[in-house]
This record gives sequence, structure tokens and C-alpha cells, in this order.
Amino acid sequence: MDITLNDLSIGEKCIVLDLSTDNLAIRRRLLDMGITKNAEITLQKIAPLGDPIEIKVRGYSLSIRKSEAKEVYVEKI
Amino acid sequence: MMKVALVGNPNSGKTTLYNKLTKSRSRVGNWAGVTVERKDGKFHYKNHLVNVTDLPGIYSLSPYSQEEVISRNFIFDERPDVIVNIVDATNLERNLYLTSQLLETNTKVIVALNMIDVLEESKKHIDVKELEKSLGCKVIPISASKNINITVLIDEIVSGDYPMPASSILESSYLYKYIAEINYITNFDTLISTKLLEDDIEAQKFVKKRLDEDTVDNINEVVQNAKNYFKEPMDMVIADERYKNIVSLCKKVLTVDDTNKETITDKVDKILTHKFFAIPIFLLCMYLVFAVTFGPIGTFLLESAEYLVDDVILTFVENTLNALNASDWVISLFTEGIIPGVGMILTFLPQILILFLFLTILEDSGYMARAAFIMDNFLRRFGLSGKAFVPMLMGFGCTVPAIMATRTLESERDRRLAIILTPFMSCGARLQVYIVFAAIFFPNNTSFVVFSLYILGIIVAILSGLLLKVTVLKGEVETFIMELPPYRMPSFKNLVLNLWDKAKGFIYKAGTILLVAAIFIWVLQRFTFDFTMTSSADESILASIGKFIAPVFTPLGFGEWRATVSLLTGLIAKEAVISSLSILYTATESLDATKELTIALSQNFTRASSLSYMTFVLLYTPCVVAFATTKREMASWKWTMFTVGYQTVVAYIFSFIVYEISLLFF
Repeated sequence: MDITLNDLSIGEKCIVLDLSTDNLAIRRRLLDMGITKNAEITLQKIAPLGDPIEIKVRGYSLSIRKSEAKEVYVEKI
Repeated sequence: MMKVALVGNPNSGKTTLYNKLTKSRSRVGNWAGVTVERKDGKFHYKNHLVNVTDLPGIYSLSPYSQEEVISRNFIFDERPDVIVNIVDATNLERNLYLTSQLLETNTKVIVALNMIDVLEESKKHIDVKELEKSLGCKVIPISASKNINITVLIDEIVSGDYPMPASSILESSYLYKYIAEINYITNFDTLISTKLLEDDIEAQKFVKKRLDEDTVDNINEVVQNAKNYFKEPMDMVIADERYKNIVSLCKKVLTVDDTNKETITDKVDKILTHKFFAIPIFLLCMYLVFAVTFGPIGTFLLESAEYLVDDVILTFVENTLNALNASDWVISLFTEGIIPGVGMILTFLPQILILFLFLTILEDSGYMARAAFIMDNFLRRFGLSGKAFVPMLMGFGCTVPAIMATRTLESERDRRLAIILTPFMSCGARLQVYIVFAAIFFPNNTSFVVFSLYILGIIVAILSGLLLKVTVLKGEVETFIMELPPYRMPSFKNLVLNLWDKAKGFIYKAGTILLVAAIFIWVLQRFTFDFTMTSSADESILASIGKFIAPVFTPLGFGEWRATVSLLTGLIAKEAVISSLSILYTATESLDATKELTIALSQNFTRASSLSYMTFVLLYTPCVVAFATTKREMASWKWTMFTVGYQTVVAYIFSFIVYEISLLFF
């Protein structure tokens, strides 16, 4: 459970294992946006200034900050 | 009367559909969160009167931002007869998440499957009959922008012939056992039961208010049982189950040719959000907007409009009035009050429309969201989120909608900061002041001076962000979880409608507030305290007021009563600064107000004091409408007064600095 969304390189795919419970507001939001267990995520891009990142999840593009991405535990595929 | 609520994800085409239904022209943009407040419109159809409420876009019924609270409360409190749920057919999976929740609210639902044309273009197909069967509600494929099936949808709405959704998408899962138990105990809708399972605070409050303690205990027992069974947080279990069922539903109804094909959006984004190119392209875009608006094209339009007002209209009115043997005061009211005041404003209309045209294109195309993506890291250093970028950019058009657009920000702290900083983005009205002054005092560097003022506004906003972040508005910047919508070609019709709307609003303002202001100033300037008419402006009521306040501005270089009075009238609307200057300085009868104003200003201002004056206009409180909006959005007098006080102090300090530095050079 040590790998988070932040450990992906561009173009890599992963499966969500769990979300951290540190920040419930972020967690709720991520869940609503479709980042749930077993969701497939691709890291599309990192913003020019290094943060935020752009991911593809459930067929659409979502931008989240690295501080939020670190709440998402994943497994690379 | 039938009550219909439009509910859907941000950017799913709700507002376009609302416009189609009610024939009104609301602002439509390709940016999550264009409808910041609910909007009501009515339409008649086959003897039915239907009231449509356009709610802000939401992703779910668990409220995090204010817009989601508005939508959720509307559904729970006002109980619409039917919810028209707009679902973006090209983004079915995530859109159906909200649908699954709406179907659990004990309200009738019609799904309007929007953008069906775009879906078919990308060689995908949705089996509507199957989707209807699975969801247990009516589904009508439409295209709001291409006008496909809109009448079918309206027919369906007014028919009233659709079922109350009976099933929940969660019904097939084991989880539903617990939901059904809570449903049975409370008799509330399924959605509330799921929220109770998730320990949602709002739902708990809702239940506590309505049920006795024993019943609440019974509920808690069920919740505890569920937690024991699943051994992981219930919010994850429920969201997971919802999406799992939606995924299998999508598999059933959606036929896709090739999922991994690179979309046009992906290709465009390769360049526009490129590691190295993104920022230069962004800056170039901004520069182009300014160059066209304030460069040769904008200037040409401005001069044409000036010619029309000064040479054609003014002459015509004066000749007509003379021919009619009108009395002197009537002629004076028109040629020295109304026409210089109101007419001067209208000459700026073309330039403001160009600026709005660009902002609309940026927004409709989807680039605004990318700009927020690119700028987030930068803005965060000043205590703002990338999402604040759009309100800030809108601030260059008009502060009022910009302040309202801060509602897309989730945290109170972020919103307050954005509301305080947005007015420093120089709005279209203030531009008029710069154009007049810069053209007179810096004829060779007009664009540069104007551009510098815009930059100064941004710098002041940045410094203020840094200052406020560590003083009155401490705290962490909140989340930045934002959808990047697919690029879309802005529709020409939408652009025209938007511009027409802006033009109408502008002309309306010129014909109402500014007309009254122009007459008011004319009266104050033409009459003395004992209400006798005076031809010498120095003896007027206005002069007395101005002379009393003027010394305050002496350190800034413009402690002159006419300049001071114009700043005061500028509080009504920034356009009034120029119209006041124009009225006050063109006291003698003249056929050319613009030329005379030019001469008068060059006699009364220096290069240094003109810069200081422009700086003050840039930074002090925009106008009463902006003030009222700030009050409404902050919902606090304390913060509103702080905002105004802060702006005034900042304006004074920076004007002083600019004046002192300019004195060294000029």
C-alpha cells in the first residue's frame, strides 16, 4: 500500500486500491469523481510548473494536485 | 404550474438546454460552473405553464461547494414535479453517478441524454431502450446545441406520464439489505439511507430533527452492522458499488468501436498543456487578446464611435434644439450634461465587446480550464487556487460576474481571498479612463501604459494575496479537483448572443444609472447652494464638495476638485469618471467635447499626476454594484467593509508611490 498516484510516470496505468482517510473532504470528492476501488487511472500529464497532474479516469480527464494524488493508493498495471 | 428542475454535471449542457426551453439567453460556457446561482424561467406549451429552474452543475448530491448545496437544497426543500437530469452521453459513466443518486430521492426523473450528435460522430452508440429499462425512468436522447429532440423532451415533460423511479442502482448488491432496513425504519428516501450509512453529518442532522431517539438508535445499529460486515469505510463501499453497477450498465448499453483512440482533445492538449510550450502559449494568448482589443483594431473602432457621438449626434442635437428655440438650460442639459456623459460611455462599447468576445471564446472552447491547470501552482503561492484564475480573468471584463464566479471555489477562505483580490483585475469600465489619459499624456506609448496598469493590478493582487495569506486569511489552500472538459468549437450563435447580451446590458446601464448620474452631476455643477443657475462651475454645489475633499488627494498629485468629484461619481460606475470629467471640464459651449476634454486635462494634469490618477482608478472600490455583490457573496458586513477599506488604502498608497516615482522621471 505504499505506491500512490504520485509514483506513476506519464502514460502509466494503475488500479486504485484504497483512499487515505486523512482528509475526508478530499476523499469524498475523489470518490464522487469516480476514483473508487478498482478504478483504472492513467497519468496523462504533469502541469508545466510541476503541479497539478492530469489523469484519465472513467473516460474523462481530471486535474488534481499532488497533495491530493498522494491520498490515492494504487497498484501499477 | 409545473415545477421542473434541471440537474446535471457541470459542463453537461444544462444552460444550453435551459435557454432552448425558456428561449432566454443565459451565459453558456465550456467551463465547469457557469451557472453560479439557480435561474428560473417559464414557458408555455400546449396549455401548460412550466417553470424551469436551472441549477448549478454538480457531480453528486454530497455537497462540498456552495453550488452543490444550492442544488441539493432545492431538490429536498422545493420538491420539483420532475427533475430533468441532463446526462452527457459522451461521458456516461461519471454522469450516471449523479443520476443514480437522483433516482433515489423519491422524485420523478427524466434523463435527457445530451450531446447525442457528438456521440454518434465518434462512432459510439447508446441503446436508449435498454438504458430506460435499467434505470427505470424515461430517457430521451437530445442535442441541446443542435436542437435535436427538444420538442420530444418538452412533450414528455408536460405529459406528466412517467413513473416514480422505483429501483435503486444499488438494489442488486448485498449492501442494499442494510439500505432497505434503514428505509423501513425511517420511511425516508433511499438516498438519505445511503448517506446515513456513510455517517454524513447533514443526513444525521436531518434524521435527528424528525425522528425520536429510539428510532435513531435503531438506525445506528443497522449502520454498525453494515460497518462490521464490510470492514471498510462505508463511503468507499457505496461509491464503489454505485460505480460497479454503472460500469456493468454502460457495458450493456454502450457500443464503442475503439476505446483507445486518441481524441482531438488529447491531440490539442499535447501542445496547449505541453511541458515547455504551455506557458508561452498562454502568455501569447493573453497578449493577443490585449493587442487586438487595445491595438489598431480597437482604436479604430473607438475613434469611429467617437466621431459618431461628437461630430454627428452632438451637432445634430444642438442644431435641432436651436431650431426649436429651446431655452438655454435645455440646450445645456443635453450638450453639456447628457451627451458628453452618456455618449462618451457608448464610444467605449466596441472595445469592451471585443474583450468580452475573447473571454467568451476562451471559456466556450474549454481553454479556461487548461489555464487554471497551468496556473494553479503559480497561484497557490499567493494563497489562491487555479480555479480562482477564471474569476480573475473574468474580472478583466466586469468585476460583478467575476465575484459571483468565485462560488466555484470550495472553501470559504479561498472565496474570501478571491473576492478581495478580483477587483484589482482592471475591469472594462476602468479601461476607458486609461485610454483617455494615456492618449493625452503618453501618445506614443498608449498601449504600453495601459498594459502596465493591468500588470500593476495583477502585481497588487499578488502582493495582497501574500499579505492576506499570512495575516487575516490564514489557512491551507483547499482542493483542486477539477474536470478538464473536451475542447469544443465555440458556437457562432452563442458568441453573438453573448455579445448582444453584454451590449444590451451596457446600453441599459448607459441609459439608466449613467443617465441619472449625468443629469445629477449636471445639476450639481450648474446650480449653487441656493438653487440659482450659475455659469461659473467654480461656484456650484459640486465645486464646494470637491474643494472640501480635494486636499486629501494633494499628496497624490491631483488635489483638484474636478478630479476629486469624478472619483466620487466613479463609485456609481467607473464609466462615470470619464463622463464626469467630460462634463466638468467642458463648461463652455462646444461642438467637440473630446478635443476640449483633451485640452482641459492636459492643462490640469501632469504626466506624473495622470499616472497616479489612473493608478487610483485602477485600485479603489470598483462601483456600487460590485460593492453590493461583494456584500451578498461574503454574507458579512465585516468582510465587506474590510474589502472596501483595504481597496481604498491600497489605492491611496500605490497612487502615492506611483506619483513620487513618476516625479523622478517626468
